Amino acid sequence: MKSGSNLEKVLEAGHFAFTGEVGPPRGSNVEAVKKKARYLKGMVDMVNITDNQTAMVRMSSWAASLFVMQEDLEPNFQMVCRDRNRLAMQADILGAYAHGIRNILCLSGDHQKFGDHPYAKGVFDIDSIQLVALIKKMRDEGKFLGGADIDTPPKLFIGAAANPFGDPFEWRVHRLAKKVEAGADFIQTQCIYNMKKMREWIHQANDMGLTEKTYILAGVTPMKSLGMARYMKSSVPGMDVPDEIINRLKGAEKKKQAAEGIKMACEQIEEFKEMKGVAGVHLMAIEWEHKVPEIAEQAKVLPRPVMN
Amino acid sequence: MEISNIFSSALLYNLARGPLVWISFLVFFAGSIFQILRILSLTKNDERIGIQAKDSKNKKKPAKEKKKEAILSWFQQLKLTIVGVSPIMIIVTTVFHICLFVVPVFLLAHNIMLDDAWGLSIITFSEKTADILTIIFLATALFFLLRRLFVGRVRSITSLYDCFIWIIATAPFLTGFLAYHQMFDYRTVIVLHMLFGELMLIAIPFTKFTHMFFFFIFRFFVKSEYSLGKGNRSWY
Amino acid sequence: MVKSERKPIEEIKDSIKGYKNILNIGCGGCSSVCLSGGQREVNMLNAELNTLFKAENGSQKIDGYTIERQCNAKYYYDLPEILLNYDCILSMACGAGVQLAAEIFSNKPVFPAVNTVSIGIDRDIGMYEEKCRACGQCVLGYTAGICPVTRCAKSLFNGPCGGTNGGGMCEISNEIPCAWHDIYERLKEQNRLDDILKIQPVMMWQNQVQRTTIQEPYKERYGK
Repeated sequence: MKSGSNLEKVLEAGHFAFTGEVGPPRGSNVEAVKKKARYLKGMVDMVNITDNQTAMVRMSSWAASLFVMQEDLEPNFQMVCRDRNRLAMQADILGAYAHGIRNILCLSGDHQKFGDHPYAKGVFDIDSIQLVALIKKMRDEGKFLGGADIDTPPKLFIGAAANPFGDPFEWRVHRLAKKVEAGADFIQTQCIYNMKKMREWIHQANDMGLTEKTYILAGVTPMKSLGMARYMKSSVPGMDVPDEIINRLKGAEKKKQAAEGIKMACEQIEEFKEMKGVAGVHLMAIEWEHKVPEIAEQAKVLPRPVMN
Repeated sequence: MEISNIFSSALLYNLARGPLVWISFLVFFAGSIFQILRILSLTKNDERIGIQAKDSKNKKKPAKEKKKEAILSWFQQLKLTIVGVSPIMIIVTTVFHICLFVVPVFLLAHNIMLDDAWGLSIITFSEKTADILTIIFLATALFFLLRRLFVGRVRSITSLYDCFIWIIATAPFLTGFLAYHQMFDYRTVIVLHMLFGELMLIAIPFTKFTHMFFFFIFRFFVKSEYSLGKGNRSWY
Repeated sequence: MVKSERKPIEEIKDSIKGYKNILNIGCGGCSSVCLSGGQREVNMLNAELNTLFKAENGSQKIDGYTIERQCNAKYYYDLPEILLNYDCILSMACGAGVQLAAEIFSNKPVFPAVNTVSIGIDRDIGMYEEKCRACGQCVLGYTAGICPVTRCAKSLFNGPCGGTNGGGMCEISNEIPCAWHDIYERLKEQNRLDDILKIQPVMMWQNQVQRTTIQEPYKERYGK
């Protein structure tokens, strides 16, 4: 066991993992965090706590993670490279581990231009792959990046993100290889709509032997409406939404679009269960946390395994 | 035979108003076209670099920028150009070039012959107007000569070629003026006028008179810091 | 060369308010090349400012003088005498030139009239692209000559982030190409993809401290 986190235990035991996501509030509202967490309790193995997502200032990920832990849910502490330099990163990692956080996800972070402070200085002292390598060094060698010994090294389960769809497509699996080489224990992908490309990417990853070295969790986001599908297709960077998705939603009546979206998500989850190389699904029900129990039920991923 | 007799001889007279007219215009047109094509072939049209997205999904047109009120009036802007640096020279050369073009084209004497020969009847100046314009032209030509001889920085780069060029440009007008006023022996002067005119036509494409076309090509079609148009050609 | 852009006229006018006789010093180096602060631009700015001054009160006046370069002290030789008649300097040089002018004429206020943008290249007349951020640790050798610090919005050293749009554009704008997409394409063309297959270690940022550069052959002169 590298970290002893719940997710690690579930994956090591060979179960199909099911994780969720929660966005912290745009303020110090503790109840808001706990309320969202309560919806996911018992539904997921671990929940991502986003870090200033889309560069909008929110309660920090580690703080929200602590409240989530109070609700008996295991958090996945996200850290973006946009907001911290290597000193602050190492310090926060030590603090998070000391408080009981056992999973961490390393991300580059959306550019500050997207958020509410567009002219802030984006730190980007190190990039996400270097961050993965940094945490691995802290955990396995017990040393800081600068080389000095750590008093009680943090044992974290290290995760990284992957986008199977960005251009250049042929390069994406090599970037995945770099993340695995740097030490990523698990990978969460961006939300997938283009299943064809996903199958191709997983196939390449299998061929390169990457799926044996790391656990890949496929990202799924159910579409709430046709408007959301159209928005994601045109305005969200790195998103690949094929026309079939749009057409299926168009075919449904306005009130039934959400149900159709959930149905499509569950179909994807069924396919991922059978797909070689996919170790689980990461459900991103953005601002739709109250629907997670229903989706988990329909996707037949309940009950979640209880690991000791 | 004396020199004046040579110029008043029937042979030269008939040559000057006959075949030499054709030859000189032919050389002028052919030479000019050749020079224009040559100079254009030394440039190429650059792809205009636009700040356009590769396959723009953003269909919104950029908001029209409010046109800022210019702080400087057109006159103040003009003063910031060469017009402000050497105003007298600019005025003189403008007058010179206007007269250079306008006087031969709209001269009564020329247009009578044009009407006789080709049936083309174009507008003309009155003789008095043409006369005054010629005097103005000669005055500006004199200004150029004096400038070239007495302004230090211009004299230092002057050579015999420049003096000949001045003569070729001024002589047709001077001889024309003298002929019209019937000073000296008319026959000699008119033959000289025709010969100088033909010489000037032939000289245009093959001397620095090519600035007649090159000015427009360089200022309006070739891009540079000082270009006046939106030309997009650059040198090879 | 260093590329700069003239500040908005209101900002310039605001910074020199209160000074009666202003000297606008132009720069014949980078500012001239990128058409932001050479002699022509000095004359243009002076004409505009004098017009605005006249419209207001007529107590302020600005004259111009362009020197070869403002980044080398020896080109300032004829300025001390000229400056006796002026109580303030407006400089159209890049940030380095303004600072040297302020150092040499430490008893006179010096105001910048241009914003220094970057080290860049000339694309076309009047159009300049930023190419270098002077990080001090050039990695262009392994990124096919495309700078990840400058051209990548997130200064990533290991390949593109997940935000690359269709068509290879950066997530922040449809008009900015993704640097890592271009790096990949160019390395592929040259068969050098191995350069970015290995993990590039963390950058040791050299540009966090003001640097004085002494070239190797001259180190002895300065006792190094």
